[in-house]
Amino acid sequence: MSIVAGVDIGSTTAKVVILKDGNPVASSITYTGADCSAAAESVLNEALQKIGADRKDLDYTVSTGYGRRAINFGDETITEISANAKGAVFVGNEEKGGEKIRSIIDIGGQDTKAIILDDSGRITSFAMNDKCAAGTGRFLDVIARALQEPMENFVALALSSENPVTINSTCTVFAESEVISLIAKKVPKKDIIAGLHKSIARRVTELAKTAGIKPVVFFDGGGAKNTALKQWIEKELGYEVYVPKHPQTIVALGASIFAYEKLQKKNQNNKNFK
Amino acid sequence: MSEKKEPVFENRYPFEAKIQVNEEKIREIRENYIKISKINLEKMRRGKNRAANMAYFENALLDKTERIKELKEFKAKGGKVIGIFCVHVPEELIYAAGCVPIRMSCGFYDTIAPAEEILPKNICPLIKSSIGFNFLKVNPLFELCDIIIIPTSCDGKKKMAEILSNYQEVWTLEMPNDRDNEVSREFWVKQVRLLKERLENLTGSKIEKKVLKKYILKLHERTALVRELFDLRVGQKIVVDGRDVYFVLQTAFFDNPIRWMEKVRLLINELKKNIQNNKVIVKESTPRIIMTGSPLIWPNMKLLHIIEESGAVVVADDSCACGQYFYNPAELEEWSMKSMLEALSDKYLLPVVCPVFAHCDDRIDRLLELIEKYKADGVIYHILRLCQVFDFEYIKISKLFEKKSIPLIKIETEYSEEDAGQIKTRIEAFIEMLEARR
Repeated sequence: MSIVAGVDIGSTTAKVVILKDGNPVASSITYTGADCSAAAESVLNEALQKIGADRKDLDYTVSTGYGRRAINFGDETITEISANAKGAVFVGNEEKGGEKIRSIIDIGGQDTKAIILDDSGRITSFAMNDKCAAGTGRFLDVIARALQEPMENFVALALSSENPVTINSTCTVFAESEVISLIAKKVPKKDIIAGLHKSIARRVTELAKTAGIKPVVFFDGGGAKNTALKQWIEKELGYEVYVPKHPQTIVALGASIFAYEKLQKKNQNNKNFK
Repeated sequence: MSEKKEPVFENRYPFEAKIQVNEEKIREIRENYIKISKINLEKMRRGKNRAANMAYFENALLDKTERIKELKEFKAKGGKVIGIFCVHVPEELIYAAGCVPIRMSCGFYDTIAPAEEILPKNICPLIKSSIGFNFLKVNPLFELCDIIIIPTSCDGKKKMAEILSNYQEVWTLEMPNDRDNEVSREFWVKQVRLLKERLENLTGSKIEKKVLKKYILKLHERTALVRELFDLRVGQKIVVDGRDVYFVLQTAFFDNPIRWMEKVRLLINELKKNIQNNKVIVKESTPRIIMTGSPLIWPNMKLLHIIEESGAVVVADDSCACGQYFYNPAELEEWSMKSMLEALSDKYLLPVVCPVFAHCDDRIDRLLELIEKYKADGVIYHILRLCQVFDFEYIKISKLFEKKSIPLIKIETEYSEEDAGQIKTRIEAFIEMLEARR
């Protein structure tokens, strides 16, 4: 029996997926906060508790995400781009009945990514947003504060709008001041919020198009839980995208699969050595 | 000798803007240049089996005392030192006129903020740094320059020439936009001839045919040597990395060329021995990278550090600050002054893959040739933010490479370190992608 873990330290949340003999058995999510090492420790322990295991039972751990090197445990690191591809291919097989995933759109707290795969699930190209936060989860957080509207209401408000405004600014800071001037002009909140979703969707699809997006498109990351965003992305692309059951833990899942493959290889090598 | 002098910059209206920095700040910037250079060199020394002959080049960069002394003595005897930019200035003519060229470097972050005082915001860091370097005299060798020659390659260089001309004598070298027609070529030959006349006016003596021939042949040797150095990375056994090759080539910007060639000869001999003795610096399965795009100029080694610290190795490049510098010989059959000038003109125009020209097909040919020759696994396309010409050409090249299944990644960045983390993620993912393809 083997137990491996994939730990994904994102800018906003830390995620863990545990595999037992190659099958996902537990996962856990927590806020990263200021100390990513502490967040990684606690989220890993929490996931292990769910299956009644602890740290010494772990055979192999792979970390990923922007904080992958900030944590002081784990056997190996992998980029979130490779991890995302592995996770998406696995889930695609499980949930989409083997239909080939060819592209991934990932909207996270700080990064937006588009990843293009070939028939066998290997990455052929990818694109990431620049260092600014426009088009990411953080963008919506900033605007929610400016609008004094809790994030929980955002999706419903966005979907209820019939006249989304056009947000021109591509920079979070400028978009925020644009939003403030829209509030001053008494534009309904729902139209502003819908406009923001539309603007993010437009930027993300532009990025995905430069990378060479093609169906079937898999949409994951924290942003994929936002149904308004999904709808606007589909409108921009002109076809449907698939959101997995647990979009936030796909990258951690990919890291855990990588850990499992590594462990098998290691065991194989040890056998050969004997 | 022609008496006509054609100053491009009359400056009837003076350029009043000034960089306001005090002596203390300048000292701080100069010290920081050395500090950052040392940090770079430390990173480059980390690997195993690095050639011992790299030491000469390290010292040449960190301590320029000897070079300064040489040039001061040269100037005391009436010699002229000429600062040059880009890869389009025929160095043979400068040497033949009895002058010494120094190529200006412009890769230092700290020189940007002071230069921004007198420059528009939206121009590339290389131009900002060039202006900063010249005003702040970060490199003590620049103070020795009597003239600066600036080819009118990109828009930034043209306007930079105008600004600098308020403070020191600047000559422009007018470049054609399209090099593939007879009119452009004639125009360019005329420019090179004009440069010859200007040099003769400066020194008061004519450039002799046999002296020019001597320097053309001398620089042929340099080209042959540099090609030999590059070719060491064609095989599977890698004994020198991209950073070291970039670095060695860039010490030629300012070093005494004869001494530099001797030291490169020693380095090549050592590297050849290392290949024989299997003293490699990376294992054979290491992904092999071709660098293209905007030049990476010392001490801006950020991207090369990230690539080679993430488990790949740069095996070739088409950069004007490395693989294109010195790479082409002047092709001659007869040695009349006319044919020498024409051959020099061709050398500095036709094979140059700078994106300032109207089309990029020659650059693509060169890239494809490099990929095949150096058995590259992927290409990293560096764009300095706001370097429009390289950015324009990326789109055509990326579509072509997609069709040819050549892995390519674009990295758009500046001289600052703040995006190093994000770039590292991209480069690591690119390397993981290359490894998965095998």
